[in-house]
Amino acid sequence: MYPLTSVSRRAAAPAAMKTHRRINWSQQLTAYLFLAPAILAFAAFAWWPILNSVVMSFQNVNLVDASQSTWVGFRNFERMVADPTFAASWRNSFEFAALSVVIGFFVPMVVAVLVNEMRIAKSFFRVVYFLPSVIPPLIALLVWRLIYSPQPGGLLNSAVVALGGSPQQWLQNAALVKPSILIIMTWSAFGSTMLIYLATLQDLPIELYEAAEIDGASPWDRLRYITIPYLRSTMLVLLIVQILGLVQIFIEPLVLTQGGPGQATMTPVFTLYRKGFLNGDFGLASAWSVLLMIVLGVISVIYLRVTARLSQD
Amino acid sequence: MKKITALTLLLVLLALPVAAQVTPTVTIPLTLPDTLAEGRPVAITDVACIGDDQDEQRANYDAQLARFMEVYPNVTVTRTQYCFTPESFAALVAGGNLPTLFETPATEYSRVIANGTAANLAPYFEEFGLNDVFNPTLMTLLSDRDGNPYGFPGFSYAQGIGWDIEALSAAGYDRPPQTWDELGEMAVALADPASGRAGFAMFLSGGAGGWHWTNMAYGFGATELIRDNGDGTFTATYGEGAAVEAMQFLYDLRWPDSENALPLDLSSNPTFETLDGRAVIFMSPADGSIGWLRVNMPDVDLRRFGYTAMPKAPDGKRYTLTGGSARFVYSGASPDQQEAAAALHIWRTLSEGEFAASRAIFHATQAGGGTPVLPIYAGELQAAVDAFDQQFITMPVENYAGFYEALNAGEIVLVPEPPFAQDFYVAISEVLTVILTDESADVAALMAANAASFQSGILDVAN
Repeated sequence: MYPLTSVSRRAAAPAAMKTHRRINWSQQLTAYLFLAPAILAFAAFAWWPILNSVVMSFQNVNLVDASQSTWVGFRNFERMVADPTFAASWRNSFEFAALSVVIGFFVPMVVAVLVNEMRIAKSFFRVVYFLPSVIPPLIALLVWRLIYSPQPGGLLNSAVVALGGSPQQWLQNAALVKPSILIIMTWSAFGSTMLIYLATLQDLPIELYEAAEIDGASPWDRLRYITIPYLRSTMLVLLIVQILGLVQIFIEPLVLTQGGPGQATMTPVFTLYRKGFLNGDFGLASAWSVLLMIVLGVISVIYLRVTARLSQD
Repeated sequence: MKKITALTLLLVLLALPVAAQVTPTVTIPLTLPDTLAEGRPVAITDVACIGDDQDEQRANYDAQLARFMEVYPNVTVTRTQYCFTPESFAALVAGGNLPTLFETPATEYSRVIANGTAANLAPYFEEFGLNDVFNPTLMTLLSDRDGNPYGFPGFSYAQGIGWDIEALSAAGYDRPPQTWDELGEMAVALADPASGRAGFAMFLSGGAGGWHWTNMAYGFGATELIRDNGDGTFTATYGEGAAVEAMQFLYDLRWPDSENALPLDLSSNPTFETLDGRAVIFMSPADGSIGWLRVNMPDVDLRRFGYTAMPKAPDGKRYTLTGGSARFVYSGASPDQQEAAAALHIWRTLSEGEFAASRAIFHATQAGGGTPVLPIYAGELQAAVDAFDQQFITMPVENYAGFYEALNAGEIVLVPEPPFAQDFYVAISEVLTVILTDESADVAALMAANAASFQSGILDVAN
C-alpha cells in the first residue's frame, strides 16, 4: 500500500439522459416574466454600457453631444498600441501574475492545511485569518502605506533596521514595488481563499488519513499524496480566478503609487482610468476597455472549460 | 437695465463696520438687466461644494439664492451639492446632467472649452460690463483662441516656495532662495541625512510629480516642452536644453555628493515633510500647503512657515503653472438658462449687497484668509477686494511678503499646461523615478529617449 496513489475526487457522473420534452410556453412565459426585471436591469446597467463602449472605441467621442462623435475606425486601437504605456501596463500585469504564483498563490493553501490540522482553536484561527478580508480596501491600503514608509522610522523599515538591514523604499523602488503590492493583495485576499481550501479539505474523507497513518505515512507524505492531489482542482480554479483579479488591479496603484515609480505599477485598468477620466479621451479609454474585455473573456472561457472538465471528472 | 456703479458705494458701506482703514473706492461699469429671460419662467441649477459640517455656510448660500429669486422672480434656482471629481464630472457631462452653473478645477479649463461643455459667455460679458473686470492673465486660460470668455475665475493659485523659518535661519540664511542655483546650494547645505532631514522637498512621483517638475522646467528656461506646430502636429522638445538641466538639477540633489538633499520618500507630500521636520524648503502651491494646513489642521502654528514666489528663471521672471477653480455655464442649457446662470454668478459675487456675503462664504469654504494666491480681478477692483478681505485674514501674511512683492512687480508669469499634459506628466515621472533611484542614470540620455518615445507613441498618433 505504500507509496500511496494520488487521490482525486471523482463523482460518478450520471449517464446523460436525453429527453425530448414538449415546451409549455405558458409556463415559460411566467418564468420569463419573473426574470424580466433582472434582465432589464442587466441590459440597462451592464450590457448596454458594454455595447456602448465597443461603439465608442471606434469613435472620437464627444461626451457633450453624442451626435458630434465621429467614426475613426481602428485609430483608437492604433493609438493604444503605440502608447508607451500600453506595453508597460500589460508587462506589469504579467509580472504581477507571475509574482502572484510565487508569492501569493500558495499562502492560503498552506494556511488552510495548517488550520485544518489544528485540533483546538480551529474556529478562532479561521476567523483571525479571514479578518483582513472584511477591512475596507482603502483603509487597509492607507495602513499599509504607513507600514511601507521609506523613512528609517517607518514600521517595516524599523523592523528591517532592528534585524541589521538598511531601510528600503518599498513603494518607491521599481524593483520592490510589485512584491510589496502583492504582499498587500495576498494579505487582504488570502482569508477568503483559505476558507475555500478549508471547505474542500473538510470534504476529504478522514479515513484516507487514517489509512495512510496505518501504512506509516509521514505528515509530509500525507500532504504530498493525499492533501495536495485532493486540492488540485480547487487550486487550478483559484489560480485562474486570481489571474482574473490581477489583470484588473486598480485601487492599489491609485491609492499607493499612482502607477509609479515611473510606470512600474501602471496597469491596464489604471491606464484606462487615466485615459478616460484624466485625459478626457473616452474613445481611447473605450479601446482599452474593449481589449481588456477580450483578455478577461479569454481567461473566463478557460475558467469555464476548466470548471466544466473538473465537474465531469 | 439697472446700472450698478458697483463697488464705489458698496465698499464704502461695507467697510465702515469692518475697519476704519478700509476706504477704497472703485467704479466698474457693471450692469445687470432688470429682468432676465425677458420675464419668461426659467429654472436653473447652481453647484455648490459645501462641507457637511458647514451648515451655516449652506444656509447663507441658500439665503443668497432666495434673495436672487426675489430680485428675479421668474427665475427658480436650485442648489446642487456637488464637489468635483473626474469620474463623476464625466458622467454628468455624458448624461447631460451638468448643473447650469458648474465649477471645475484648472486642469479642466481647456477641456470644457474645447469640447463644448462650457457656453460662450461673450454676450454676457458684454451685457453685464465684465470685459475689464477679471484678471486678464487668468482670462487667457478661460478663453478660446478668438478671445471669447467661457468662464468666471473663482480662485487661482500659483506654484511657490515655502520654508521652515527657524530651520532656515538656524542654518545662517536670512531669506529664501531667489534662484534655482541658490535653492540647490541651500538644499544641500540644509540636508541632514543622519536625522533624515532633506533640504528641499517637492512632489516627485506620479502625475503630480510631472506637474511640479514642469514648473521647474519653465523656471530653468524651457519655453515649451511640447511644441504645437499649428498644423495639428506636435513636437516633443523636452529631450534637450533647459528641461534636461531641470532634471539634472534634481539628480544632482540626490547623487552623488548631495547626501540626499531630497526626501527619500518620492511619494511624500512636501508640506508634511516640512511640517514634520523632514525638510526645510518645499515647493507647493500655497493653497495646497499652508492654506490647507490652516483649514484642516488649525492647531498648526503657521508662523513657522514663510512663503514666496518661485525662484527666478534666467530672464528674471518667475514662471508657474496655475491651479484653482472657475465657474462655467453649461452649454446644454437654453439661452434663457444661460443668461440667468451668468447673471446669478455676477449678481452674487459683485452686486451691491451680495458682495460681502459672497466673500464671507468664499473665505469660509476656501483656503485660509491671507493665503498667498493670485488676483481674480483686475486693477483697482482687486485692490478694493483685497482691502475688504483684510477682515478675513487668519494667516501670518507678513511671512508671505516675498510672494506679494514678486506679484506686484509683475515677476510671476503664468504659463499654460503643455499639450497632452496628463500623458506628459506620466511620461516625465518615469524619468524622475529612474534618476532618483538609480545613481548610474544618464539624465540626458533618458530625457532624449523619453521625448522620442513620447513623440512616436503619443504625439505622432494623436490625430
